[in-house]
Amino acid sequence: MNDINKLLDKYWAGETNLEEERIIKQYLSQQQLGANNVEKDLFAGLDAAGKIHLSNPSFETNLRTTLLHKEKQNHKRLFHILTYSAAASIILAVGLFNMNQKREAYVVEKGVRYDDMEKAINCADQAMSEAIAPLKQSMQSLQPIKGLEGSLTPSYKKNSLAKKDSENIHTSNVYDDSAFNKR
Amino acid sequence: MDLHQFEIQILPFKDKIFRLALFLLSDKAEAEDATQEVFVRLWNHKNNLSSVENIQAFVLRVTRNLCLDKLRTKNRRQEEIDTSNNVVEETMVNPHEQTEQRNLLDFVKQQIALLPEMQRTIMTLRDIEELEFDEIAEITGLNENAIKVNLSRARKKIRDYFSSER
Repeated sequence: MNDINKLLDKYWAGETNLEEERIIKQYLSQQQLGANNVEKDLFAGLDAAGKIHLSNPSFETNLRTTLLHKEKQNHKRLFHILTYSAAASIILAVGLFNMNQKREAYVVEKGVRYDDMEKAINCADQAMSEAIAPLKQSMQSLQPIKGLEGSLTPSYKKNSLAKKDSENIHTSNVYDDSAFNKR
Repeated sequence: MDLHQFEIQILPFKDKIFRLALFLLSDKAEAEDATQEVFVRLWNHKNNLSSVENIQAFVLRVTRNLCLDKLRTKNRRQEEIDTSNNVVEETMVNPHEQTEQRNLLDFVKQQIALLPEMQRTIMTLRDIEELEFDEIAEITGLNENAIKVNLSRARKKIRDYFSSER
Protein backbone atom coordinates (compact mmCIF):
# COMPACT_ATOMS: atom_id res chain seq x y z
CA MET A 1 0.00 0.00 0.00
CA ASN A 2 2.88 2.33 0.92
CA ASP A 3 4.52 1.63 -2.40
CA ILE A 4 1.33 2.48 -4.22
CA ASN A 5 0.95 5.72 -2.27
CA LYS A 6 4.52 6.66 -3.20
CA LEU A 7 3.81 5.82 -6.83
CA LEU A 8 0.61 7.90 -6.69
CA ASP A 9 2.56 10.86 -5.31
CA LYS A 10 5.01 10.48 -8.19
CA TYR A 11 2.06 10.19 -10.56
CA TRP A 12 0.47 13.50 -9.44
CA ALA A 13 3.88 15.14 -9.78
CA GLY A 14 4.16 13.88 -13.36
CA GLU A 15 7.29 11.89 -12.51
CA THR A 16 6.16 8.31 -13.09
CA ASN A 17 7.24 6.31 -16.11
CA LEU A 18 4.82 4.24 -18.20
CA GLU A 19 5.59 1.02 -16.36
CA GLU A 20 4.84 2.60 -12.97
CA GLU A 21 1.60 4.02 -14.33
CA ARG A 22 0.56 0.56 -15.51
CA ILE A 23 1.25 -0.83 -12.02
CA ILE A 24 -1.00 1.85 -10.49
CA LYS A 25 -3.81 1.14 -12.99
CA GLN A 26 -3.61 -2.56 -12.41
CA TYR A 27 -3.61 -2.18 -8.63
CA LEU A 28 -6.57 0.20 -8.61
CA SER A 29 -8.62 -1.91 -11.01
CA GLN A 30 -8.19 -5.00 -8.81
CA GLN A 31 -8.86 -3.36 -5.44
CA GLN A 32 -12.27 -2.99 -3.85
CA LEU A 33 -11.80 0.58 -2.72
CA GLY A 34 -15.44 1.52 -2.34
CA ALA A 35 -17.58 3.93 -4.32
CA ASN A 36 -16.26 7.35 -5.39
CA ASN A 37 -12.61 6.65 -4.84
CA VAL A 38 -11.03 9.49 -6.81
CA GLU A 39 -7.97 7.64 -8.09
CA LYS A 40 -9.89 4.53 -9.05
CA ASP A 41 -12.60 6.52 -10.86
CA LEU A 42 -10.07 8.69 -12.66
CA PHE A 43 -8.04 5.74 -13.91
CA ALA A 44 -11.21 3.90 -14.95
CA GLY A 45 -12.37 6.96 -16.87
CA LEU A 46 -8.97 7.36 -18.58
CA ASP A 47 -8.94 3.67 -19.42
CA ALA A 48 -12.38 3.98 -21.06
CA ALA A 49 -11.23 7.08 -22.97
CA GLY A 50 -8.39 5.05 -24.44
CA LYS A 51 -10.92 2.65 -25.90
CA ILE A 52 -12.84 5.24 -27.90
CA HIS A 53 -12.59 4.50 -31.59
CA LEU A 54 -13.96 5.74 -34.88
CA SER A 55 -17.41 4.25 -35.14
CA ASN A 56 -18.20 5.36 -38.70
CA PRO A 57 -18.18 2.13 -40.78
CA SER A 58 -17.82 3.95 -44.11
CA PHE A 59 -14.82 6.03 -42.96
CA GLU A 60 -12.19 3.89 -44.65
CA THR A 61 -14.16 3.59 -47.90
CA ASN A 62 -14.73 7.34 -48.05
CA LEU A 63 -11.09 8.00 -47.25
CA ARG A 64 -9.90 5.61 -49.98
CA THR A 65 -12.16 7.38 -52.54
CA THR A 66 -10.86 10.79 -51.45
CA LEU A 67 -7.22 9.73 -51.65
CA LEU A 68 -7.64 8.19 -55.11
CA HIS A 69 -9.37 11.35 -56.31
CA LYS A 70 -6.49 13.44 -54.90
CA GLU A 71 -4.01 11.20 -56.69
CA LYS A 72 -5.79 11.75 -60.03
CA GLN A 73 -5.81 15.52 -59.42
CA ASN A 74 -2.08 15.44 -58.63
CA HIS A 75 -1.38 13.56 -61.87
CA LYS A 76 -3.41 16.09 -63.86
CA ARG A 77 -1.59 18.98 -62.19
CA LEU A 78 1.77 17.38 -62.91
CA PHE A 79 0.80 16.87 -66.56
CA HIS A 80 -0.22 20.55 -66.86
CA ILE A 81 2.99 21.73 -65.22
CA LEU A 82 5.08 19.60 -67.59
CA THR A 83 3.13 20.81 -70.65
CA TYR A 84 3.47 24.48 -69.69
CA SER A 85 7.15 24.01 -68.85
CA ALA A 86 7.81 22.42 -72.25
CA ALA A 87 5.95 25.23 -74.04
CA ALA A 88 7.84 27.87 -72.05
CA SER A 89 11.16 26.18 -72.83
CA ILE A 90 10.41 26.14 -76.57
CA ILE A 91 9.41 29.83 -76.55
CA LEU A 92 12.54 30.71 -74.59
CA ALA A 93 14.76 28.71 -76.94
CA VAL A 94 13.25 30.35 -80.04
CA GLY A 95 13.60 33.79 -78.46
CA LEU A 96 17.24 33.21 -77.57
CA PHE A 97 17.98 31.86 -81.05
CA ASN A 98 16.45 34.96 -82.67
CA MET A 99 18.37 37.27 -80.37
CA ASN A 100 21.55 35.48 -81.28
CA GLN A 101 20.76 35.75 -84.99
CA LYS A 102 20.25 39.52 -84.71
CA ARG A 103 23.51 39.89 -82.92
CA GLU A 104 25.29 38.09 -85.77
CA ALA A 105 24.16 40.70 -88.39
CA TYR A 106 27.33 42.58 -89.33
CA VAL A 107 29.38 43.57 -92.38
CA VAL A 108 33.15 43.38 -92.86
CA GLU A 109 34.43 45.92 -95.32
CA LYS A 110 38.09 46.32 -96.02
CA GLY A 111 38.90 44.39 -92.86
CA VAL A 112 36.62 46.60 -90.71
CA ARG A 113 33.66 44.97 -89.00
CA TYR A 114 30.40 46.98 -88.81
CA ASP A 115 27.82 45.73 -86.27
CA ASP A 116 25.57 48.79 -86.57
CA MET A 117 22.92 48.00 -89.19
CA GLU A 118 22.61 51.55 -90.62
CA LYS A 119 26.37 51.95 -90.98
CA ALA A 120 26.62 48.50 -92.51
CA ILE A 121 23.95 49.33 -95.10
CA ASN A 122 25.61 52.66 -95.99
CA CYS A 123 28.95 50.96 -96.31
CA ALA A 124 27.49 48.20 -98.51
CA ASP A 125 25.78 50.91 -100.64
CA GLN A 126 29.03 52.77 -101.14
CA ALA A 127 30.86 49.56 -102.02
CA MET A 128 28.21 48.71 -104.60
CA SER A 129 28.46 52.22 -106.15
CA GLU A 130 32.19 51.85 -106.43
CA ALA A 131 31.81 48.41 -108.01
CA ILE A 132 29.36 49.55 -110.71
CA ALA A 133 31.14 52.87 -111.49
CA PRO A 134 33.26 51.39 -114.37
CA LEU A 135 30.12 49.77 -115.80
CA LYS A 136 28.31 53.13 -115.77
CA GLN A 137 31.25 54.71 -117.57
CA SER A 138 31.24 52.09 -120.32
CA MET A 139 27.44 52.56 -120.70
CA GLN A 140 27.98 56.30 -121.25
CA SER A 141 30.40 55.57 -124.10
CA LEU A 142 27.58 53.58 -125.79
CA GLN A 143 25.15 56.58 -125.78
CA PRO A 144 26.01 57.89 -129.34
CA ILE A 145 25.06 54.48 -130.82
CA LYS A 146 21.52 54.85 -129.44
CA GLY A 147 20.75 57.54 -132.12
CA LEU A 148 21.41 55.07 -134.92
CA GLU A 149 18.68 52.64 -133.76
CA GLY A 150 16.18 53.70 -136.57
CA SER A 151 18.62 53.40 -139.41
CA LEU A 152 19.57 49.91 -138.33
CA THR A 153 15.97 48.54 -138.69
CA PRO A 154 15.67 46.20 -141.77
CA SER A 155 13.33 47.29 -144.64
CA TYR A 156 10.96 44.27 -144.40
CA LYS A 157 10.37 45.13 -140.72
CA LYS A 158 9.61 48.69 -141.69
CA ASN A 159 6.93 47.56 -144.25
CA SER A 160 5.15 45.25 -141.80
CA LEU A 161 5.09 47.99 -139.18
CA ALA A 162 3.53 50.41 -141.73
CA LYS A 163 0.85 47.80 -142.61
CA LYS A 164 -0.10 47.28 -138.96
CA ASP A 165 -0.54 51.05 -138.57
CA SER A 166 -2.97 51.31 -141.55
CA GLU A 167 -5.08 48.37 -140.22
CA ASN A 168 -5.42 50.09 -136.91
CA ILE A 169 -6.69 53.22 -138.60
CA HIS A 170 -9.28 51.21 -140.67
CA THR A 171 -10.76 49.39 -137.66
CA SER A 172 -11.15 52.64 -135.82
CA ASN A 173 -13.14 54.04 -138.79
CA VAL A 174 -15.53 51.01 -138.78
CA TYR A 175 -16.18 51.55 -135.14
CA ASP A 176 -16.98 55.17 -135.77
CA ASP A 177 -19.47 54.22 -138.54
CA SER A 178 -21.45 51.84 -136.36
CA ALA A 179 -21.63 54.47 -133.76
CA PHE A 180 -22.97 56.87 -136.35
CA ASN A 181 -25.62 54.30 -137.65
CA LYS A 182 -26.97 53.81 -134.13
CA ARG A 183 -27.70 57.43 -133.95
CA MET B 1 4.45 5.08 -50.97
CA ASP B 2 1.40 3.74 -52.80
CA LEU B 3 -2.14 3.46 -51.47
CA HIS B 4 -1.65 -0.12 -50.32
CA GLN B 5 1.45 0.76 -48.26
CA PHE B 6 -0.31 3.85 -46.94
CA GLU B 7 -3.21 1.70 -45.72
CA ILE B 8 -0.85 -0.72 -44.00
CA GLN B 9 1.48 1.82 -42.37
CA ILE B 10 -0.62 4.92 -41.73
CA LEU B 11 -4.27 3.90 -41.54
CA PRO B 12 -3.85 1.94 -38.25
CA PHE B 13 -3.32 5.32 -36.51
CA LYS B 14 -6.89 6.35 -37.27
CA ASP B 15 -8.26 5.75 -33.75
CA LYS B 16 -5.36 7.59 -32.10
CA ILE B 17 -5.83 10.50 -34.49
CA PHE B 18 -9.56 10.50 -33.83
CA ARG B 19 -9.15 10.45 -30.04
CA LEU B 20 -6.64 13.31 -29.99
CA ALA B 21 -8.88 15.31 -32.34
CA LEU B 22 -11.90 14.51 -30.18
CA PHE B 23 -10.23 15.70 -26.98
CA LEU B 24 -8.88 18.83 -28.64
CA LEU B 25 -11.97 19.82 -30.62
CA SER B 26 -14.59 18.46 -28.20
CA ASP B 27 -16.87 17.51 -31.08
CA LYS B 28 -17.31 14.07 -32.59
CA ALA B 29 -18.25 15.18 -36.15
CA GLU B 30 -15.41 17.70 -36.28
CA ALA B 31 -12.99 15.13 -34.93
CA GLU B 32 -14.01 12.73 -37.69
CA ASP B 33 -13.56 15.44 -40.35
CA ALA B 34 -10.18 16.32 -38.85
CA THR B 35 -9.14 12.66 -38.96
CA GLN B 36 -9.95 12.53 -42.66
CA GLU B 37 -8.10 15.80 -43.26
CA VAL B 38 -5.03 14.50 -41.44
CA PHE B 39 -4.95 11.48 -43.75
CA VAL B 40 -5.27 13.72 -46.82
CA ARG B 41 -2.39 15.90 -45.57
CA LEU B 42 -0.28 12.82 -44.94
CA TRP B 43 -1.18 11.46 -48.39
CA ASN B 44 -0.01 14.71 -49.97
CA HIS B 45 3.39 14.12 -48.32
CA LYS B 46 3.44 10.38 -48.90
CA ASN B 47 6.81 10.48 -50.63
CA ASN B 48 8.47 11.94 -47.52
CA LEU B 49 6.83 9.62 -44.99
CA SER B 50 9.36 6.85 -45.45
CA SER B 51 12.11 9.15 -44.17
CA VAL B 52 10.21 9.97 -40.95
CA GLU B 53 11.80 8.27 -37.94
CA ASN B 54 8.80 8.11 -35.62
CA ILE B 55 5.65 7.88 -37.73
CA GLN B 56 3.30 7.84 -34.71
CA ALA B 57 4.74 11.08 -33.31
CA PHE B 58 4.68 12.67 -36.76
CA VAL B 59 1.06 11.68 -37.39
CA LEU B 60 -0.05 13.00 -34.00
CA ARG B 61 1.88 16.25 -34.52
CA VAL B 62 0.08 16.78 -37.82
CA THR B 63 -3.20 16.05 -36.00
CA ARG B 64 -2.47 18.52 -33.23
CA ASN B 65 -1.45 21.27 -35.66
CA LEU B 66 -4.58 20.77 -37.73
CA CYS B 67 -6.80 20.83 -34.63
CA LEU B 68 -5.11 24.01 -33.41
CA ASP B 69 -5.75 25.62 -36.82
CA LYS B 70 -9.39 24.64 -36.53
CA LEU B 71 -9.63 25.97 -32.98
CA ARG B 72 -8.03 29.25 -34.00
CA THR B 73 -10.35 29.80 -36.94
CA LYS B 74 -13.50 28.90 -35.10
CA ASN B 75 -12.36 30.33 -31.80
CA ARG B 76 -13.89 27.45 -30.00
CA ARG B 77 -12.59 26.72 -26.56
CA GLN B 78 -13.70 24.68 -23.60
CA GLU B 79 -16.86 23.28 -25.06
CA GLU B 80 -18.43 20.22 -23.63
CA ILE B 81 -17.85 17.06 -25.57
CA ASP B 82 -20.90 15.59 -27.25
CA THR B 83 -20.85 12.09 -25.94
CA SER B 84 -24.07 10.85 -27.48
CA ASN B 85 -22.53 8.87 -30.35
CA ASN B 86 -19.14 7.92 -29.02
CA VAL B 87 -18.55 4.22 -28.83
CA VAL B 88 -16.80 2.58 -25.92
CA GLU B 89 -15.54 -0.89 -26.60
CA GLU B 90 -17.83 -3.44 -24.98
CA THR B 91 -15.46 -4.86 -22.41
CA MET B 92 -17.66 -4.50 -19.37
CA VAL B 93 -19.32 -7.46 -17.73
CA ASN B 94 -22.83 -6.25 -16.96
CA PRO B 95 -25.06 -3.28 -17.90
CA HIS B 96 -24.58 -1.65 -14.51
CA GLU B 97 -20.79 -1.65 -14.89
CA GLN B 98 -21.16 -0.48 -18.48
CA THR B 99 -23.25 2.52 -17.42
CA GLU B 100 -20.82 3.29 -14.60
CA GLN B 101 -17.86 3.13 -17.00
CA ARG B 102 -19.64 5.41 -19.49
CA ASN B 103 -20.41 7.93 -16.76
CA LEU B 104 -16.77 7.97 -15.73
CA LEU B 105 -15.71 8.36 -19.36
CA ASP B 106 -18.12 11.27 -19.86
CA PHE B 107 -16.89 12.89 -16.68
CA VAL B 108 -13.22 12.52 -17.65
CA LYS B 109 -13.91 13.95 -21.10
CA GLN B 110 -15.78 16.90 -19.67
CA GLN B 111 -13.01 17.66 -17.21
CA ILE B 112 -10.22 17.31 -19.78
CA ALA B 113 -12.14 19.66 -22.08
CA LEU B 114 -11.89 22.34 -19.36
CA LEU B 115 -8.08 22.25 -19.35
CA PRO B 116 -5.94 24.71 -21.34
CA GLU B 117 -5.01 23.35 -24.77
CA MET B 118 -1.42 22.36 -23.94
CA GLN B 119 -2.38 20.53 -20.75
CA ARG B 120 -5.24 18.86 -22.61
CA THR B 121 -2.90 17.66 -25.34
CA ILE B 122 -0.27 16.41 -22.93
CA MET B 123 -2.74 14.59 -20.69
CA THR B 124 -4.39 12.97 -23.72
CA LEU B 125 -1.07 11.85 -25.15
CA ARG B 126 0.27 10.53 -21.83
CA ASP B 127 -2.72 9.19 -19.89
CA ILE B 128 -4.90 8.05 -22.79
CA GLU B 129 -2.44 7.24 -25.59
CA GLU B 130 0.35 6.19 -23.19
CA LEU B 131 3.15 7.88 -25.14
CA GLU B 132 6.71 8.31 -23.82
CA PHE B 133 7.89 11.79 -22.86
CA ASP B 134 10.28 12.05 -25.82
CA GLU B 135 7.40 11.37 -28.22
CA ILE B 136 5.25 14.00 -26.52
CA ALA B 137 8.20 16.40 -26.79
CA GLU B 138 8.37 15.71 -30.53
CA ILE B 139 4.66 16.39 -30.92
CA THR B 140 4.35 19.47 -28.74
CA GLY B 141 7.80 20.99 -29.15
CA LEU B 142 8.23 21.29 -25.37
CA ASN B 143 11.12 19.86 -23.38
CA GLU B 144 10.65 16.99 -20.95
CA ASN B 145 10.59 19.15 -17.82
CA ALA B 146 7.95 21.47 -19.24
CA ILE B 147 5.89 18.44 -20.20
CA LYS B 148 6.10 17.02 -16.68
CA VAL B 149 5.08 20.34 -15.15
CA ASN B 150 2.09 20.66 -17.49
CA LEU B 151 1.13 17.03 -16.91
CA SER B 152 1.28 17.40 -13.13
CA ARG B 153 -0.91 20.52 -13.24
CA ALA B 154 -3.43 18.81 -15.52
CA ARG B 155 -3.65 15.67 -13.37
CA LYS B 156 -4.07 17.66 -10.19
CA LYS B 157 -6.84 19.77 -11.73
CA ILE B 158 -8.68 16.67 -12.86
CA ARG B 159 -8.24 15.13 -9.42
CA ASP B 160 -9.66 18.27 -7.83
CA TYR B 161 -12.63 18.24 -10.24
CA PHE B 162 -13.25 14.60 -9.35
CA SER B 163 -13.03 15.34 -5.62
CA SER B 164 -15.40 18.30 -5.77
CA GLU B 165 -17.95 16.92 -8.25
CA ARG B 166 -18.34 13.35 -7.10
